[in-house]
Amino acid sequence: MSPETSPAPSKEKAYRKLYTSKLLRETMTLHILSTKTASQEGRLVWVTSGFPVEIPVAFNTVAAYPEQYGAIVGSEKCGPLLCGFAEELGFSQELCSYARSSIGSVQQPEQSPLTGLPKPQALLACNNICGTVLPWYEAVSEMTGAPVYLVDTPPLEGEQPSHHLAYVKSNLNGLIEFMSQNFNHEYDEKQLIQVAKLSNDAVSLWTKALEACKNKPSPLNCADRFLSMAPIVALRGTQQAINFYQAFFAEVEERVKQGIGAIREERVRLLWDNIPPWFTIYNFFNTLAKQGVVFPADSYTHAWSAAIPRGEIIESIAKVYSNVYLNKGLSAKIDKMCSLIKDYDLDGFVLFSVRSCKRYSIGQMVTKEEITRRTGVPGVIIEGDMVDSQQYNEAQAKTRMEALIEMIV
Amino acid sequence: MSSQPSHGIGIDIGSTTTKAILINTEGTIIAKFLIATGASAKKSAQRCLDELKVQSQQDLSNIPTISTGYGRRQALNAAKSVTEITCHSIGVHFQNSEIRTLIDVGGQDSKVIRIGSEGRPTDFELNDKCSAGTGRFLEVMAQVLETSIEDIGTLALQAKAPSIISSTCTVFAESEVIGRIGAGDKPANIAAGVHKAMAAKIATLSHRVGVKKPIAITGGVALNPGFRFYLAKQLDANLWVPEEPQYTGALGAAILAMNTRE
Amino acid sequence: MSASLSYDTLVAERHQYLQPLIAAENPIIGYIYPHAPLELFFAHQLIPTLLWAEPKVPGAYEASLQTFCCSYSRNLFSQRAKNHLPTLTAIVFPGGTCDSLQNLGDIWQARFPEDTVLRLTYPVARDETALTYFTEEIQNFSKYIEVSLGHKFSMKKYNEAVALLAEFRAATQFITAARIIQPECLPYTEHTKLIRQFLTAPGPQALQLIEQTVIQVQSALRNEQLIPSVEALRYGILQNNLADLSIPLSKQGPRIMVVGGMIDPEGIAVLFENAKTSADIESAEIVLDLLSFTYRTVFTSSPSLQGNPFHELAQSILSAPAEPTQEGLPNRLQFLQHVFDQFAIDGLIICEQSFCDPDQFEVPDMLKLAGKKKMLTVRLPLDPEFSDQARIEGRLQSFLETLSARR
Ligand code: SF4
Ligand code: SF4
Repeated sequence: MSPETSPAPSKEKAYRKLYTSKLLRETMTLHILSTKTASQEGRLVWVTSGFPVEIPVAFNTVAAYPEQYGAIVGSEKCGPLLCGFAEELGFSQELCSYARSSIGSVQQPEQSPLTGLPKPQALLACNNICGTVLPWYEAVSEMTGAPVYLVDTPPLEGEQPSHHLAYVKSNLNGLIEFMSQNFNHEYDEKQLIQVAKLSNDAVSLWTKALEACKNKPSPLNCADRFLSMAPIVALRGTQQAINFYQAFFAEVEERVKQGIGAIREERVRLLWDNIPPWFTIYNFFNTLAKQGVVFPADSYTHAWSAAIPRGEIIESIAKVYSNVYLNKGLSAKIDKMCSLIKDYDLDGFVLFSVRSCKRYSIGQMVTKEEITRRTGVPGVIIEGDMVDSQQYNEAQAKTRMEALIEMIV
Repeated sequence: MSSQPSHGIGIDIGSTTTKAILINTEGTIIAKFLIATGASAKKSAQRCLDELKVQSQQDLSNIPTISTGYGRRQALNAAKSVTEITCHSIGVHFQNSEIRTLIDVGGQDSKVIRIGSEGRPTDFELNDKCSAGTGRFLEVMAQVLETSIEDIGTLALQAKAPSIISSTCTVFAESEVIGRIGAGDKPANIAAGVHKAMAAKIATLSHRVGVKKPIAITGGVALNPGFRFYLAKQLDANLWVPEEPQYTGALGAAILAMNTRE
Repeated sequence: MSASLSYDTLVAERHQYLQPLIAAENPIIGYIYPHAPLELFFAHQLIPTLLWAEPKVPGAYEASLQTFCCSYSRNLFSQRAKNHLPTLTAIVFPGGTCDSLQNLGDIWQARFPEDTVLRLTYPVARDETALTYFTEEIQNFSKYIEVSLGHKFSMKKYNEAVALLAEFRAATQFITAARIIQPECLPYTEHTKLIRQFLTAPGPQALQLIEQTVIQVQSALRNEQLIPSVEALRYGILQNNLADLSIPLSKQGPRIMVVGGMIDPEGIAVLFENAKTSADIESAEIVLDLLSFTYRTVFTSSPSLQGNPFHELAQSILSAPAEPTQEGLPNRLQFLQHVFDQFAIDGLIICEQSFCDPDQFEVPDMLKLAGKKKMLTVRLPLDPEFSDQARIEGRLQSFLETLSARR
C-alpha cells in the first residue's frame, strides 16, 4: 500500500504519492468528527470558501464547508444522484452543482456521503466568490431553520475605494454582532488577533509549498494541491492546520532537495485554471502524468495565499477578503495567470470551463487569447463540471488535451 | 344528450407520427390510422382523415374534429386544437378511470400529468429543452449499440450488471456509451445502464409533480419493456399500459370532439 | 386557425421609439440592469435608454461567451457584435447584481475597447450601511461621468427628471393597480407596451401617452367608486402592506400572474394571447406580473426633491421591490403569499431565463408556495429569442386548459 517505497524505476508509477496524505486523511477525519460534535453542541457554522472564517473561529464555533462537501460528493461520484434530489424540488439543472448537491444532501441525508454535513446553527456566506452563495444558503436556511448572515463584498475594479472598505468593515461588524447574539459569546479582539495569526502561519506554509513548485521537477502536481488544500480551506485559523502544513511543507522541501518530482518524468509544465472535475480527478491528472505532463501551478489553490496584513484587525480582514481575485474581475485573473506562467516557467495552460461556476468561467475565451498574446504559450479550454459528471465529456476533454500537448512537444 | 354529436374525430400530430381515430357515442373505435408525420404535418393529417373515411365508409365532413400534438395547429379542418396534455389525460381516463398519474414519453417530449377524478389534468410537468429523457435519447443509444429501437429494451432486460451511464445529455451519453464499449462492457449491461439513466431522469420529472398511484405510461417508449422495468423500479410502483399507447392522445381528442356542443 | 399576434411586428415598432431622439442628436446612454439612476443620467444631459434583448438577433457570442452565460447577456452581446444597438455615448453595466452580467461587463470592455463602458456597483444588503455605500458609489459615478464624458451635473435637469420619473411611476402604478382590480380595463399587451415605450425613450411624449391611458382606464373602470380602491391598493403595494386591504376584485375569468426577472413582458403578453386563443379561454387574464422591467421598475419609490440627490437616488434604487437581495427571501415569500391571497390568483406562470441564477433560485419557493395554495403553475424556460416558441405556447395552452378544467 505504499508506492513511495517501491524502488524499481521501470515499475515505478507515473505519479508519486505523498506520505503526508495519511496525515491529511487523519486531519480531515478529525475535522469531520469535530463538526459533528460542534453541531450537537450548537456551535456549527457553514461557511463559503472565501469567508472570513477567522471571525467565527474566534467565537469558538466550528466551520463546515459545503463546497468541500461538494468535492466529496464529486469524488464519490454521487453528484448526479444528489443534484437530482434538488431538481425534484424544482432547482434547475443549470444551477451550480455545489449548490444543487448540497441542497440535495440536506433533503436526503441518508442517501448522501457521510449522511450529509451536520446540521448547522448558522449559515455564513461571503459573496466575494460569486452571487450564487446567497440564494443557495437561503434555500438551506429554509430547510434547516439556521439563520443566514451575508458579508457583502461588492465586486471591485482596481483599487478598493474607501467607501467600499467602510462598507465591508461595517458588514464584518455586523457579523460580530450576529455571532455574539446567536452564539452567546462576547467578542474578544485579542482572540481574533490570535486566530488571525494562526491563519497567517498556515497560509504562509501553504504559500511556501505552492512556491516550491517553481522548481524543476515540480514537487507537487495538481491533484496533490487540490487534495492537500483541504485544511487551508477548512481549518484556517486553527493549530491543526499549522501542524499539517508543517509536515506537508517538510515533505515538499525534501522532494525539492532530492530532486524528486511529483511525477516520474516531467516533460511538459502546464497551468490549470478553475475547480477540477472531482469525479475523475485522479484519472485525469494521472493519465496525463503518464505522458509526462505536470501542473506546477493552478489559479485555484493560489486563492488561499493572501495573509491578513498588519493593522486594525477588522480593517485588515476587510481588505484581504475584498481583494480575492474572483472579486476583482477578468483583468486581475488574467494578470495572475500570466505571472504564474512566467514565475513557474510553464509551457501552456488549461482553462477548465466549469458550467456550474459562471463567475469563475465566463470570460475564459477572452482570457485564453489574452494569455497567449502576453506570454506566447498555447492554451486550451475543456468543458465540464466539478460535480455533475453528466456535464462532462471525457472523450472530448482527452482529445483537446492531446492536441495541446502536441502543440507543445 | 341530444345536442351532442354522435361521432368524434381526434388527430394527434406528433413530431414523428400522426395518429387519427374516429369514435362513436358508445366509445367504440370505428376507425384508426397511424403514419409517419414526415415533412408536412398538414399532408399527413389529411392522409389520416382520408384513411378514416375509407375504413368507416362514412362522410366525415360534419363530424367534429379536434387536433392535438406538436403540429395541432396545422390541421386546418379541425374545429379546435387542444394540447396533448389534456388529450392524453382524457384518453387514459377513458380507458382506466382509476389512473391518477400519467407518464408520457414520446420521441421529442416527455411529460408527467396528474389526472383529476373527472379525467382532466390537474397539474403537469414537461421535460426541459434538451432531448434528455425522451425517445430520441434511446434512439441514438440504440444506434451506437448497433441494435434497433425495438430491441434495445429487451436487450437491457438481459443485463446481469448494468453499466454506469451518468449522462442523459444525448451527445455526452453517446461518448460515454462508446467508452463503455471500448472498456469491454457487455451490450446488454450498457443498454441497461442507458435505460436506468433515462428512468432516473423521468422519475425526477415525476417527483416534481408528485406521483400519485396508480400510474399509467404512454407514448412510444411505453412499448419498451426495459424502460418500463427500470422506471417501475425507480418509482416503486406498477405501471399500467393501455393497449395501444400510441393512440392515447388521438383518442382523448376524439372524445373531446364528441363532447363539443355545436 | 386564429390570427396570432406577431412578435416580430412588435419588435419592429420598438425600434422607432428611439428614432426622434437619435435624430435630435441627443447623447444617449444605454443601460441593461433596470434599476439604474435614470434621474442622474438626465442631470448629466444624457438620455437613458434601456437596452432590451432582441428576439431575432443572429448569434454572435460564440467566440466570446460560453453557452452557460445567461441567454440575456448572450443576446445583448450578439446585438453589439452585429451592430444592432443604437449609437450610444456610453453604456452602463451593473456590478454585483448577478454573475453573468458582472462578467459580461469585463468581456465587453475587452472585446469592444472603442465603447465607453461605465460601471455602477450595487450592494446586495438593504440596510443603512448599504445605503451609505451606495450613496457614495453614485456620487463617485456622477463624478466619473463628468470627467470621462465631460457632462456636468445640472441641478435644474435633475429636478426636471425627478418630476418626469415620478409622474411616470405614479401613472403606471395606477394602471397596474387598476388592472389587478379589473384587468379588462386595459389589455396587458397595451400596458406592457406603454412601459416599454417610456423606458426606451423616456420623455414628455412617452409620458403623455401613459397619462392619456390613465384617463381612459379611469373611465373604463366599472364605476367611479373603484378609483379610491385603486389608489388604496397602489399605496398598499408601495408600503408593502397588503394584508389589511379589502380589494373589490372583478372576478371574470381565471386570474393569472407572471413571475420572473429580466423577461420581456411584451413577449410574454404575445405568447399568452396566442395560447389563450388556441385554448379558447378568452376570459383568462394576466392581472399582474412581478417582472423586472414592469412591476419592479414601476413600484420603485421616487427620490424626493429635498435632500442630497445622491442619497435620494440610492434610496430610490434600493427600494425596488421583489429583487433578490439579502433581506429578501422570507420577505419576498411573505409578500407573495399576500399577493396570492389578496389578488385571488388562480394560476402562476413562472418564467426562467436560461442560465439566470437569480430567476432559477426563486422557482422552488414559488412552486412550494403555489402548491400550498393549490394554485396551478407552469414553468417556462425562456431565452429572449423564444427559440422554442411553439412549445412554449403549447405549455401555456395546456396550462390554460388545465386551469379551465379545474374551475
Ligand atoms: S458558483 Fe462557483 S464560486 Fe459559486 S459556489 Fe458555485 S462553484 Fe463556488
Ligand atoms: S437574465 Fe438573470 S443572469 Fe442574465 S443578466 Fe438578467 S438577472 Fe443576470
